[in-house]
Amino acid sequence: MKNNPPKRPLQFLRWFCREDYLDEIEGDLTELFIKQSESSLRKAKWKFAWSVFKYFRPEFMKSFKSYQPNSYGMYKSYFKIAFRNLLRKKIYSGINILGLSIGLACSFFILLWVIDETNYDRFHKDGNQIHQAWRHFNTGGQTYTMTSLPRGIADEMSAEFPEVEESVITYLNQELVVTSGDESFRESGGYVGSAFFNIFSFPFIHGNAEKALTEMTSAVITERTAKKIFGDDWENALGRSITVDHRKEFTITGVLRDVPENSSIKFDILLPVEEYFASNKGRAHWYFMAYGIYAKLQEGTSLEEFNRKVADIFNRHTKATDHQIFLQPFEDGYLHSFYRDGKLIGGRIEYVRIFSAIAIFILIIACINFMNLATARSSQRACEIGVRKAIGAQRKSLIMQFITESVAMSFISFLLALVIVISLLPAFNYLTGKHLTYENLNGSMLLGIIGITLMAGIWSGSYPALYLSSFKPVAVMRGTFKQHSGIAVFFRKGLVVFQFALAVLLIVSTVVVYLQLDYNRTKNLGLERENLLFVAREGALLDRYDAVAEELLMQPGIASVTATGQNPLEVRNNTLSVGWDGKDPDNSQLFFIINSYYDFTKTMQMELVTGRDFSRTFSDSMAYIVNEETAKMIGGPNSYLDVVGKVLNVYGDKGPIVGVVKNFSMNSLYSPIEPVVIRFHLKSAGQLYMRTKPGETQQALESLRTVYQNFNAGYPLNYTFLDQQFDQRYRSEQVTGKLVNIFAVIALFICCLGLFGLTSFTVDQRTKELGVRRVLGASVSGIVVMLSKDFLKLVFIGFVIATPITWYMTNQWLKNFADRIEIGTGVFLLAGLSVILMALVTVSWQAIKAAMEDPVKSLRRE
Amino acid sequence: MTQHTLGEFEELVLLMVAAQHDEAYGVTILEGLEEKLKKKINISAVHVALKRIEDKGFVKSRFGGITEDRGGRRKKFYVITALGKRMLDAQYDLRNSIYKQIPKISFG
Repeated sequence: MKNNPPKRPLQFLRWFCREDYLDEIEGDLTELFIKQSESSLRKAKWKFAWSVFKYFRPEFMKSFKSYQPNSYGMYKSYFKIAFRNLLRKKIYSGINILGLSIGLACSFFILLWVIDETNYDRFHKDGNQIHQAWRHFNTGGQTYTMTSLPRGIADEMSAEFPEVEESVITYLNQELVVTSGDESFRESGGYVGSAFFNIFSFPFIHGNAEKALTEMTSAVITERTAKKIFGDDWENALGRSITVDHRKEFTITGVLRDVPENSSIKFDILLPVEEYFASNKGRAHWYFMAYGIYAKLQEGTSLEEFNRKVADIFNRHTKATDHQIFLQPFEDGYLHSFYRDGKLIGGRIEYVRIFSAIAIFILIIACINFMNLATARSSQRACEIGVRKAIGAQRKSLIMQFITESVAMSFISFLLALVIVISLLPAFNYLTGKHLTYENLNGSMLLGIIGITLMAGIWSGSYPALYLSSFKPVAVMRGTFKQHSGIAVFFRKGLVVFQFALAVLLIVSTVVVYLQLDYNRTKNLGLERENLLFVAREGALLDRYDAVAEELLMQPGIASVTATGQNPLEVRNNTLSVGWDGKDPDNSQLFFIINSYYDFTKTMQMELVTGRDFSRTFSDSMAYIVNEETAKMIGGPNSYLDVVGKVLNVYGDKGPIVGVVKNFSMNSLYSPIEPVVIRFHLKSAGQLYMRTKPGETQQALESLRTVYQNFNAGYPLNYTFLDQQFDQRYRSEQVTGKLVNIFAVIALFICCLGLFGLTSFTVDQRTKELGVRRVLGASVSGIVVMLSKDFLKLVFIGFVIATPITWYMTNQWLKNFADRIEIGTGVFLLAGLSVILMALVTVSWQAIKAAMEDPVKSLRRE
Repeated sequence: MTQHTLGEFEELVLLMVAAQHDEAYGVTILEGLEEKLKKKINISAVHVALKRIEDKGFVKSRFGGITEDRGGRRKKFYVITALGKRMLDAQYDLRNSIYKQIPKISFG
């Protein structure tokens, strides 16, 4: 029953005392302590501590200066050893490098994507001065935020505020028919003010920015359009004339470089906006809100102050009270464009954040793998470390050695990751619909990538380095070195738990995103969106609609035809001026208006709750169809079916309600369904919608082409299928869903890779033990269960931890959708089971292999 | 032969080392001194003195075997050198010669 000297003073002594004196001093103190403790333990302890303190003198201090060994030589030896180790244990090295390269590759892909997204609209010279005007519209208890504004805003802003250097009215995203000679082309573009080129930087190849759009008949086209129209002679396009929409001739006054990919403003042809106003009287007043308005503010203008001043500019000129105008920096517009209830709540920036988070998660998982494997293998390095320390290695040198090893490995992973990225870039581009190239890789980005790799290497290597370098050489040499207990193992287990928690998070997110998107795609939108296409009403379609419609209906493959002014799945047109007998004068509900014609509900295949479609049999002159929301508003929630026959007054046009249609999804899936009124007004119904017979799409398109040839020879046929356009609109969500899916699989793969490594290592360590168990009669399954139990426990804990966090996060995302799915416990169980299953397969594979091994072999092995 | 001085305590330690001859190490020296001087001394003082006289060349040291008693630490044994013995003799002679010069009076 020996007493040990008090620990702390002893540790202190060992810390400061010179090695060559330590033996003697510690020994003497210990001997004295033992003698004294027999009479009084307390006194002995005190005496010991006091004596140690008295030894704290210069003569007995060790020199703390660490002599630097020959650096170059040391590092050369570190690398040599590192590579030899790598080659010796190919499996472990392979697993580590594979996991890390996949993690790095994912991060690089996401980095490229994020850089591309954040680089939109950054090429304008005066970019930081450019702003776009928006309006908040408060009505019916809701706030609608839009960019469609009347021209007056631009005119008055320039007039009233000296801070506004330039302002411009734009009317873009139009499809124009451009004719030169006999050929007609369809080009996208529109009308802009002459100050456009003073604000935005779109360089001219030929022509002069100042003079380009000053004449009413001037036109500016892009290089690729010029090549399309004029062929090889495109360089001489200046001064030549083209006809637009078969109605007017314009002269080319400028050829621009093609608009770059990363611009939110895209066009191929620009015409003067004043020409638009001249040809379309009545679209310049304060309530015709259809234009994009941009302004260049003076350097140093405070945006907050300016917004305060400009807020009521609309109200002042129209005696309204419900509009608030504000400017948003143009460069932010691409990523931050989603408003709800008047507040900016995000936009594409959400995706940037989500993907950045995913990249970081995956990298963390890969690094954790690395750490785990390195520390697990440490007992194999223990002898080496013991010898090194005994010979005289400083702890710092050992740490450097291990960090060098991990940096070397991460460098190899970096190269492998580059190979992966380069070879898979086309696939990634296809997936995300982008055109990422290496041209975007400038110096700082490259540095960033190398920096990430270096950080990953150092970080992953840090924990193993610290852990390994702390081995006591004496304990190692003696063989009393224990590794199966203590903080290290706890940390290792914690890392496994954390890894699998992240994997579960990603998997559940994937499933939820997939389910919601699938629901979006397949849910009943209230109309049949397949087999429905539309074309712009131009030429004969415009003037002689009835004749063309009749002709079309006689052709094979076409089921029905109608004219509509708004895309029923995305109605933007809205107004307050909807009135009926008995309307509450305080009711300021905003109504969404679709202008249409005969056979509306028939062509859309919407369900009529009561009443009828616009139909020639009844020769309607002014009539309305309303959706259930409007009907409820007019007739009250219970007797809304009775509104048929009631007279509605829209824009001053009175007419009876002839039908009530079931609510259809007229808005983005992020917003609730609003009241809709379908107005019988051919003049404003700018598109022809055509329903093709199912299975006869080819014939229907042929028929369309034939009719077009006959009636609209000068107009290139350009049709759009409604379902394709719908999918296109939710493309970002689709891409997100796919990417999250892929990354979840990758994360799980990396986790299992790590688990595989850990298991094979554990099994390796316990070969003898397993052999003995087998000899004593354990069954293969018994051993497998024993080995698997520990690991599966960890995975299960990870699952349990991940569940509430995932629940919260996915619910937050789902809140964005007005019509959303419920996440049941089924999803979580599915994710949990699949994770556990994967882990089980990984672990048991190794376990079975080990258990099946001939016990003689394993026991014989030294 | 350089002129090293020998401090009072160092001299005592050196004497003890000589007296214990070959069995002297930290603890035995300490216990011996405490017994003779009849007062408590700190082991650190002993070690400091030992270092000094070793540096001056008056003692030699060697390491002993490991025993369990000392937590696995070895003992360091000190033996007086010829130089050290000469030093002690010189000191003894010096003290004695002056002592002999004291007149035979009773000092109360």
